[in-house]
Amino acid sequence: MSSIMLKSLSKQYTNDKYTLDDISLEIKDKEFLVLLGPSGCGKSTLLRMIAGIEEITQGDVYIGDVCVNEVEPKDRGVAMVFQNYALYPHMTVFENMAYGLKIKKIKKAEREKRIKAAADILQIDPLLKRFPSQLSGGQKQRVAIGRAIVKEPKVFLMDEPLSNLDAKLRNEMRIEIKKLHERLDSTFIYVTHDQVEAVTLGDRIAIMAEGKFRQIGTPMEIIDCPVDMFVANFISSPPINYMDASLIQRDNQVYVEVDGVLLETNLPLEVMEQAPEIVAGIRPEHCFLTEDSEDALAMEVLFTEIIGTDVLVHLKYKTSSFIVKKSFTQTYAKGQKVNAGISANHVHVFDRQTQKNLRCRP
Amino acid sequence: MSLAKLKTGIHYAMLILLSVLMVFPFLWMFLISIKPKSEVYSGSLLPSTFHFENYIRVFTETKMLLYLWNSISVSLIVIVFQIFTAIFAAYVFATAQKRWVRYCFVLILATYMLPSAVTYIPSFILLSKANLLDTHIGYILSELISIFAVFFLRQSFAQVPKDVVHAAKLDGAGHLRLIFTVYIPYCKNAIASLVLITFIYSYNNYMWPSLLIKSEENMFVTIGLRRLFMSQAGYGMDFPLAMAACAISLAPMLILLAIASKRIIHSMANLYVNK
Repeated sequence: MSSIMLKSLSKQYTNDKYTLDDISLEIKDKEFLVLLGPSGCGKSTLLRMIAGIEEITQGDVYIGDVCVNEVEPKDRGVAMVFQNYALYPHMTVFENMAYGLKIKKIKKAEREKRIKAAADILQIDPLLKRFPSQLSGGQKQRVAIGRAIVKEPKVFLMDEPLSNLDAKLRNEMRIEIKKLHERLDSTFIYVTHDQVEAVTLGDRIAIMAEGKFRQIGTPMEIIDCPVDMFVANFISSPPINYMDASLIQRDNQVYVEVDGVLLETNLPLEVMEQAPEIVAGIRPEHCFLTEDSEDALAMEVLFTEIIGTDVLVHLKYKTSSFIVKKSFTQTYAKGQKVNAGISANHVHVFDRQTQKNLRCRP
Repeated sequence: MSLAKLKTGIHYAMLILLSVLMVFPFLWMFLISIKPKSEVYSGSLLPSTFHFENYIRVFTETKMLLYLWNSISVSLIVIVFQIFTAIFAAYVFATAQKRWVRYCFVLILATYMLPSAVTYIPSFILLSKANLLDTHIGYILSELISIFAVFFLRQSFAQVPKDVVHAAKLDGAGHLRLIFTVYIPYCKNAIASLVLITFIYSYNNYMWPSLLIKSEENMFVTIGLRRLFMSQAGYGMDFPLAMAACAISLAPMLILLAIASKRIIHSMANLYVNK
């Protein structure tokens, strides 16, 4: 059993501020959990506390049924992959991978067998005799993962393993890590600030901010129903558009009204009773540009940003900015007047005061 | 001429001037060492005839060979002890998180700021009580730990990436294994330079050994040279012989420098230049 349980875990570096504040979470056996959050939110600290290389201020960490607070890192059955690889620079790739096995007094034949197997999976067989300084970033990362694999840990901990790689390599390695998880049958905890990585890799995502979980759920749940404006913004790339809006009831249906444009929602009628002030959140991919000025908002093009086959059209609406993501079929000039439409049922409605999503309200 | 060129010109002029200032005494020493005794005060820099036999006389008429052996062998033993003790102390000071350990380090550094003369009398009394005056063992005991070495190694140990250490801990390495398989290999350049610096320091050490060592068979090069000057003072000094002995005493240093000049410069730059 390699489930992990965090019970009211806290970390305090200085007297007045909690880096982690009363965190509780259960990670199931063989689950792929992604800790997602902006830098400084405590996600790496949490990972390190599970690994045992960061002291716990309060609370308990359980791996399986055992409370590991007082267990040495090496005896926790975890392996960690670091952001900057942390390979031993004075050892060859082979020695790097053998180091931990040697300490565990695993027989030479068995050591070689495991390293060979890991090298096959990661395609680093030709590199075994090289030193880390002779490897590229992607190769180093493979070795770092290989060093974790050979230990056959119950739990893999990965601390932003792909953030030092270039975009293309990152995409490849992401897929490799996904495959690895399916193949190894271990529990993975993966720290990242990249929502694409989080969404593609995670069985579940835990979004953190300021030392607390904001939302824990499957990628689908989080995209579909972000609990608050922070989560909605963080999980969206390009950033979500926020607009001042109001709620209107017509024919037993709740609509969001933005400057005369009505957007359908599936909010229950009860929300109207409190008549909250709201902010509408619309993802750039749920907007479109149209000739038709009816049911659309008149905006002005600021600039366009081409990303592969798509284009982000940055617009100015009154005093705020607005982004529309569409396929790259035509160019837009600066200052050009366009009409932005919004697809129905794709609007997230947040309470202006609490910033909470009205739909996800308990 | 552009300002930049002028600047480089001035830099070079300064460097050349300083180099001449540094090199001249050595050159002078060498020139006197090959002069006949009668020409020492002749006023001309160059000798009229070359007398390289002065160098042979150093070995036949003085105990220079013994001094050299004493200096080099004792220095090597001192190096082994200083590096060994410094490695463990540096590991603690580089890795321990506790506040009182850091205070200890500051305290130890503070003793480094004391003029070394302050410690002569207590050290002398201690060694005399232990009956170790005028012995190599006494000297070695008093040089077992070098605060400079501790400080130097702590600085380079502190540069070992934390994550590499964490990785080793996760791999199951304890303190000793961390020191010997991570810290030492990672800092092997720093340790090599420390060996050199320690050797230079120990070989050149004069004041403390001169208080401690009295008998001729235990003398180091530094005291031996002084004795050479003193012993002949009454008869008109044999400057060429003394200068030849000085030149010979430099030989181990020069050989070291030739082998490791790059490393010495590199390590000094590493230690004192904030990158």
